[in-house]
Amino acid sequence: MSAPWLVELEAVSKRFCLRHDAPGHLKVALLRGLGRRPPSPSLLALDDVSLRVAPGEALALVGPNGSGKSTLLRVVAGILQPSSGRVRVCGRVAPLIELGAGFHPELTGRENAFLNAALFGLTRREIQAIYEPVVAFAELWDFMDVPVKSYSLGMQMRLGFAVAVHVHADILLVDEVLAVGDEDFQAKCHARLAQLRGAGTAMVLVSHDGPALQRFCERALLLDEGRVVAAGSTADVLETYHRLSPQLGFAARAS
Amino acid sequence: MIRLLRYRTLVASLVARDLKLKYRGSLLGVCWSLLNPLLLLAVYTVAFSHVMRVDQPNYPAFLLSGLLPWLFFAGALRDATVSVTTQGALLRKLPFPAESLPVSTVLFHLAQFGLALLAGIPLSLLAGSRPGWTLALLPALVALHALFVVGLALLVSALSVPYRDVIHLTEVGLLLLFWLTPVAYPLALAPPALRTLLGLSPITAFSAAYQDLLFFGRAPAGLAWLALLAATTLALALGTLVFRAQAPRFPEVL
Repeated sequence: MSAPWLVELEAVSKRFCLRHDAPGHLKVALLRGLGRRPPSPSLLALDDVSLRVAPGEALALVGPNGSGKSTLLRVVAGILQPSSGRVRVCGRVAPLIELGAGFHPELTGRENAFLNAALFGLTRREIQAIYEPVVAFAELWDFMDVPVKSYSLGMQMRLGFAVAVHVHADILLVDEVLAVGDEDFQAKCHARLAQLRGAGTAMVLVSHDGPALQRFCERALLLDEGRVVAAGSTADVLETYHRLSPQLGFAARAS
Repeated sequence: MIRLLRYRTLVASLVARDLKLKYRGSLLGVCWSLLNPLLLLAVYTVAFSHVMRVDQPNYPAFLLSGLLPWLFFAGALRDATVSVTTQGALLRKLPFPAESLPVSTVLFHLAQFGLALLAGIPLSLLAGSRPGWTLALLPALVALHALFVVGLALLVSALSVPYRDVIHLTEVGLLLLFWLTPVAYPLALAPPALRTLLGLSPITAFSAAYQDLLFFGRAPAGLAWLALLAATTLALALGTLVFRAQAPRFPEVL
């Protein structure tokens, strides 16, 4: 691959409609058709955001609740389309926004792992190839033929994480899901992420765990109300975040 | 559609999931899929053949040839209306092609339709239908029909997101359409004016083609195939167009 960046966002903005009548009804559409368009308030969730992530690089997103971190992650993932600006992403994206998305309680661990991997876009052959490593990573050998409804939450998250870090993603997007399982398993997760980075996987992480971000990411962006307020080394950005935090987010708007 | 080919394993897994969830833990399992059409067959046969005395020799066999395709069509479309609206949580978290949801719903019903045909064709022979060599054309007709249903499924599943009314409209529409399609009665029995009107419906065209193949043992005319092909192309084009226009907004509005 010749492109130096796996993720490249240029001046990306995202505006959400805050319609209270959504999901709409035909009645509303008919009224609109007759020219009685109700005013629709909107929210600028991302405002002119640009960023780049190179292979093997990990970028941290920090900021108060509602600052646009998760929206930004969803735009990179291709789940949300930007209202303006340009998004360029090379390769397979694996968003870890919720571990085990789509797990069905009545299905066994094996069936759920298969379906979950298919949701990431893997073919049958690819899934069969990663199945054993996934089971070994999740340490759920004896539980793969048991319905997931009898799993503990920790077991479910371990299986979800194990699938997500084995789908051969070029870009991994991690949203607040680093605290999986007990200490041993967390150490294993961090080791796996480091290993993937070493192999060239680019990462964007959202977390409120400052020390973990400092250990893992060399660069960070501070977001507030959808804008990039600070960018630079993770230590500097976290320092700026702590200094500015009384003036950011809901706290600032309330006062 | 090309993206969907890349995600073919996902579509297959969704179909497998639905089949497993439907049959797991039930004693009679797959038999339930056959019991429902059999029950309807019995009820309509009593009502139309013995109470109202519709002039149609071999009524049960005639009914069966149109009823099984109808149940596939109606069941797939009814489930398709909610196939996207109920999966908002998933669509907000992973960037998979949303088309895989209505398409897998149709394939799930197609699998049951196939099963019903396997059991229904010997039954209909027993009841006196004489299909003969025309049965060889059945796979082509089923394939065309399934694509037609996929087109409509894409349409209703996408429109149900901004307009939940479409879910109820489809439900009511299907009820009405059942009686406006010559399944429980032969088209020839309808008054001439109504017959022309019913003849315009693509659902009637599919129903008639199935009755030709399975019951009368004759091949539908070339013109009839052309009409089915045109209806399928139109449904697929419209469904794809509407779905593609709506899909980018699914993660936002669901």
